[in-house]
Amino acid sequence: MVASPDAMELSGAPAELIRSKPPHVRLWAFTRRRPLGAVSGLLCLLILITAIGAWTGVFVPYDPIELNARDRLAPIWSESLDGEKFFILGTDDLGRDMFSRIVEGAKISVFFGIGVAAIAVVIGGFIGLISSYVGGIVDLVVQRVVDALQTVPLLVLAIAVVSISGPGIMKGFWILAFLSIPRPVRVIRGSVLAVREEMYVEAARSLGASDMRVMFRHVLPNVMAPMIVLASYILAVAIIVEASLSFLGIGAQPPTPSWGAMLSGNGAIYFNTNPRLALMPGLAISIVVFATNMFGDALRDELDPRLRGSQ
Amino acid sequence: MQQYILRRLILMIPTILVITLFTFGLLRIMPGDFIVAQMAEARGVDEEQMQIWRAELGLDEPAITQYVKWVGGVLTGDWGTSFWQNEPVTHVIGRALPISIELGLLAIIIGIIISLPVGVISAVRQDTWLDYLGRSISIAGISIPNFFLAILIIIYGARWFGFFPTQVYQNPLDDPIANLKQFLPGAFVLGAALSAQNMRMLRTTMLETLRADYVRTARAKGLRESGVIFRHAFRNALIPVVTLLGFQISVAIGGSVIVETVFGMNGIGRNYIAAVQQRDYPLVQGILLVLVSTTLLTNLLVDLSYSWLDPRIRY
Repeated sequence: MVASPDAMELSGAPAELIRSKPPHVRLWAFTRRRPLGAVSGLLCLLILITAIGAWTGVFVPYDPIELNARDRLAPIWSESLDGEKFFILGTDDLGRDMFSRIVEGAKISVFFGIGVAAIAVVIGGFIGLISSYVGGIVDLVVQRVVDALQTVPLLVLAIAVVSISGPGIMKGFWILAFLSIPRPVRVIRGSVLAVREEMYVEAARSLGASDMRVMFRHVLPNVMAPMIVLASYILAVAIIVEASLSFLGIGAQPPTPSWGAMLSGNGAIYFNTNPRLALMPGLAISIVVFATNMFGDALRDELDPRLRGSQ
Repeated sequence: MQQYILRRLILMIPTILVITLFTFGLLRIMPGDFIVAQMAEARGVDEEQMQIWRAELGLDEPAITQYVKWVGGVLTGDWGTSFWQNEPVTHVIGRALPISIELGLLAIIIGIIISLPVGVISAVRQDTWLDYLGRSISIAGISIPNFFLAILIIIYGARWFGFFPTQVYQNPLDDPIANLKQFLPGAFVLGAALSAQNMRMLRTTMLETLRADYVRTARAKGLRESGVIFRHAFRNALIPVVTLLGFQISVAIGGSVIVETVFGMNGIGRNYIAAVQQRDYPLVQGILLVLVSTTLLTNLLVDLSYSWLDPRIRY
């Protein structure tokens, strides 16, 4: 009855096992257990809201690529000369509103990262699941290819593929999604090999469940936790690699307000006189990736049964 | 043991073939080649001349013939001639490699120096503000893009310390101080990212060893806490950290592309970007070959070091 959850807690069952508690209580428990995780989770939420706001245009006060010739390099928190506009973060060397550009950059970075992570985890997970389940020659070939692709750092491979296929953010997106596939293949394969030997899989099979059913109903749910954690990791890496490519001039092209491009193009010329042009996008990338990594860590601690309690 | 090493060395061959074939195919499937890249800024070049040039470089042959020739060349020590620098690929790599190796080694050393104290403190003072601070620093280390950190050093290094990156390579044998001045900023940028991984690994394993029975025994014997931490827990916690070093080589290689570009160092990474952009196939292939072999060999060394560090493991 009502008292049972507390009774369970007293009997020593970990609090997270009790699903019957209302969400706000569980959220508070999570915050108490993992303050860093909670703070970063909140930060991730804010970043996501910003990105969605940029998507719908709510948080973008002015056109991020519109020039204001008379208001070039306006300082932070200043009005335009004609008094019609207000620049929260000032303007860049072409008089473009920095706040709008940073927010627009959040849209690019966040959706780029989420898209890459989603594609890589779904496709990579699928390949890993099939390959480890089928085994034999398929598994061997898949593993060799995955091994080979993992010997070269992602950025190094991405530089080659992107610069050859020509710059552009969408090309970069598909290429990075493709190049991020090997890692989920590896991770899910390891997990599947372990889960496959579990009693409940054997039980399902002895009840006459088909391979497909065993794979998707019994094995897959049990390897979801490492996949979610991996997704957060891929997301963070994708954002950094996108920014690095744009920084090197082979990713997003001007005037697209990608954070990486903002650091290299005009930001570079004004390092000494106006370092804020480089500092703002740089800080923005750092904060987004920091929050993602931190939240991913907390998720891992929370979801990984081996780390539970021993953290 | 010898059999194991031999088997691992043989297994490297398909891996190297897959990756070189992948980039080789890629470089040739995509429209445009070295000639087109060179001619991009010229006017009035006729197709016939371009064909003659292609034939000279052997680019007119079918891709598979080119690949087989390249593999044959590598096996006999002839890695081809860089189209763009018009010099044997081995020379170009030989000149760039020492720069990247020094940068990578310094970065790994800096990574270790930063991570050891922070990792140990973070584990010993688990769930205190010191721990939270240490973990935040380590996550920040992997979250701040290295080009941003490099730019910060360029902006504030010049302002506060009068540091300006020099383009000319300072040989460590001629002038060690000038050499360190040139390399330390870049090594620090890379080392910050590496130290973050060390720190996380060290903290996790320290937490495990601190709960181990032999640590309890050491405490029960009445050893001082510092003795328990450093002589018993820390030494055992170090094993997984050492094996992380293999992984770090590849991180250092990836990061060196950016760091060398920002600081204007003419190492492997910067040559790689230039080669890719110029469609200098032999140089791209050569550099990738070096990178892949380095990673594979370090992985092997790391695996072998397991049995040295932990005598229970045998191959």
